[in-house]
Amino acid sequence: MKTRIKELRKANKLSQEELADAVGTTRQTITSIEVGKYTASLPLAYKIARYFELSIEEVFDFSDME
Amino acid sequence: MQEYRQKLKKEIIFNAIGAALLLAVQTLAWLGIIRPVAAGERFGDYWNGFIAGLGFGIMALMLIGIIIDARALKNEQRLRKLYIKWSDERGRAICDKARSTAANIFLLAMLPITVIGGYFSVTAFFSLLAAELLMAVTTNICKLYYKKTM
Repeated sequence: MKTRIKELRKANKLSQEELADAVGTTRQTITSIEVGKYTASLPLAYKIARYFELSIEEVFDFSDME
Repeated sequence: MQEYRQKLKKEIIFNAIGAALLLAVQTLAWLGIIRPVAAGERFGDYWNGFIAGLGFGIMALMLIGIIIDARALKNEQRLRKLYIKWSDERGRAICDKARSTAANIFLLAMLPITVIGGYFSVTAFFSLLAAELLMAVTTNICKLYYKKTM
């Protein structure tokens, strides 16, 4: 699944480690989500979207699921 | 986090009991009060050493576990790091997937091995068959449980 996490992270000058720490996960998980290897669970997707003050749809691209 | 703190405390108790038990067994073996079954046979000494080494290895792992957990309980930052590592959803998904894939491979691979084993040893055949049946029954019990709870 495509996401805007990397773009949002760069815009907010955040490292993967910092984002991971803020949402309570590991850096490796953030990396995997960013490159599309792993799809975040709904609670984690919510935490990430909430961290950037956006909705889940604004961070995660669901177009390939339609 | 409080729940995880309790989990670590239980883990420390479990590891301490396990390490104490292993130490007691090792001491009894060292004093010659108990001996592994193969002792006295051709490879008795080798077997004694192997069992003792295995026991000390497991004991060392338990002691390391106690140290890691105790240090985390004393330091909030360490506790959070350990908690994140433990609760990380990707890590858990990897473990679950690895376990289920390994179990499937094991079950499939064991079938021909069991049949071939039957030509060489009746004990090996029935041991392998029992292990496979136990695995299959346990898997189905877990399936029923998760069907009801998920």
